[in-house]
Amino acid sequence: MKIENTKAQMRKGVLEFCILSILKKGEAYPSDIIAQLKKSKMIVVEGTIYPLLTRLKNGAILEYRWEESKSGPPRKYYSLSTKGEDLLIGLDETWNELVEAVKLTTQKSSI
Amino acid sequence: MKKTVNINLGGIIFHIDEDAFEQLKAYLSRIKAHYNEEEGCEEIASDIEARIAELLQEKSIQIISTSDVDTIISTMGEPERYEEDEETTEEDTESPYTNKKTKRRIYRDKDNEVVGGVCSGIAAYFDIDPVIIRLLALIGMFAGGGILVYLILWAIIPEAKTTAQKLQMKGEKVNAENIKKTIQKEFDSLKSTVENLDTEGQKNKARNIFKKIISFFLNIIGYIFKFIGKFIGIILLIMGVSLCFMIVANLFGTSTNFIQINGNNIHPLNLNQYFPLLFNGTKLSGLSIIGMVLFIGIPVIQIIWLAIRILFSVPKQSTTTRTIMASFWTLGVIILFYVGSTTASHFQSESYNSRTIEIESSSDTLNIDLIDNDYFNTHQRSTSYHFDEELESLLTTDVSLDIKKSKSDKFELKIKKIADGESQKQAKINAGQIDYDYFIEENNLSFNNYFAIAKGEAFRFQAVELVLYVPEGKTVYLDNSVKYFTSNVENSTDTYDEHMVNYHWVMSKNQLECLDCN
Repeated sequence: MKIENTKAQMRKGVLEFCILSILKKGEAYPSDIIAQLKKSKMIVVEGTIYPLLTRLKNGAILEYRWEESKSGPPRKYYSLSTKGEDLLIGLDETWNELVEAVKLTTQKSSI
Repeated sequence: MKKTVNINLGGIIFHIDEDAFEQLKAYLSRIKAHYNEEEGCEEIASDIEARIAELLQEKSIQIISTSDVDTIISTMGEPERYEEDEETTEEDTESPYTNKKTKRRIYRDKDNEVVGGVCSGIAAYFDIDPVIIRLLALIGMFAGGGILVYLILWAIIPEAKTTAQKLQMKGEKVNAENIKKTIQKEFDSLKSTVENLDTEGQKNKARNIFKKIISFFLNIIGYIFKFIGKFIGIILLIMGVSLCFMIVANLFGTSTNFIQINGNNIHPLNLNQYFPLLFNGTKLSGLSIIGMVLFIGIPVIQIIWLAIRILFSVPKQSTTTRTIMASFWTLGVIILFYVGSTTASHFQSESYNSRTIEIESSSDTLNIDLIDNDYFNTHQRSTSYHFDEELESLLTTDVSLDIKKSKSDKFELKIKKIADGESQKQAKINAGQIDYDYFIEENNLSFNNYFAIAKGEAFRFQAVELVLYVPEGKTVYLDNSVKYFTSNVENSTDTYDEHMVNYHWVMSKNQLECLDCN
């Protein structure tokens, strides 16, 4: 088991969780999402987001609509589908459980 | 001064330096290539394109240079790095959103090897139990050429060293189902482009539609060619492998091993048995085997190599390998040339060894017939050869009989043995070694229609010419069996040899006359 793999695995799930959480607050287009993720240092290169969005969309977790932009190319505004909302509720629960679990186990080991 | 080009990125026109354009184009095609196998590849690429357009527009530069493209690429990142941010383990194909699998390639599986990992590698490629392949390989080895094929495969198929290669070994299957899927994907991408035409904001894509259709058909044609290519690969492989078996069987086999095809036993030529007959001494025959293996074997290896390259996308042969192959082949040609010219010189002189014997006969009539034998029938005139395993000799039918007038009052038989050799002396020795049998019994003269070139003697166009001298007034009866054995016997009626049999012929003053012909 490589440490890099573990890290990547952890980050992978969290990245999806973060995207869904961002979209929960309202629809957004990729550049918005990138800006927020970059701020929180979740991603290093911007390209990462596009394959992930496409996969989530193909998995019917996300939906999008086109909107013309005054300044640039037409934008894809992403939002959560009902399936996505359900998934996010599930992920929220799992996350809280994980945080709790990690907290408990790390505390125990430190004593 | 630099040449600039106009490009359309995500529906916006940009001026870009030509070199920067090439750089950007290469980057975008890298992304496309990376997600090639994935559903939504086109979408990912066009989304990224749109983002690049946005970034460039934010900068509001007049002409995009290579340094701008560098900045863009470092912001967006190389496609390989996306995986680092998001996922690295390729085993993780269970994820509901990922549809990504690596293309399958053939490698030697060192983890499950018995000898060199060839069998287990092939098994992994075809997704079957290695035991099956190993059994087939074992059968192949007993049948003859298997070892050669195995060694060639060992040399050609690279070993799976890295984790990525080990994964590729078990990657996506290469079969008709998958090719169909790829074509379907291609078609879907075309369809979605057509559908997007109606969607607002995508109208600028319309100009690409023609390009899309063209590329769709080009891709389909590409797949068809790929399929035909694989088919040719399979045929080449079968050809190469069977040639391997043939070489081994013909050069080193004995006639006890044979190949069964449609219930017929196909006996190999077993050339190794003939070599001692053709060449004086083992040196030349050994050399000729080496020469032939090189001369035929190397092209066969190249055929198999090519087939495997077509089938399993194995890297090209290096220049060194090709040079070595070519030199060995040339060496084969030189050896064969040497063997050929040396052997030809062993045929340059002809000589004979002859003796005449008297035949004691109480009767005035002598019956002439052939002795029945297991090797040749009597119904053929042309010379034929047969290698007999038990006698370990080459048998030939180069024997003929002529009938002439005797100078004395006795029947006489002249046996003239003829052969070639490198010198007159050697030719005479070769002729003397011919072992020819006939029998005289009462009033019967029985011939063999063949003679043996014994083991240890080389084939040097040996022949036996028999002449029977018949005294004036005496008679010969030609049995039906000598129909094709006699050769140009002179007679008063100019009857052909074939028609002289079953009759009595008497020797007149000059030539034979028929006694009981119609």
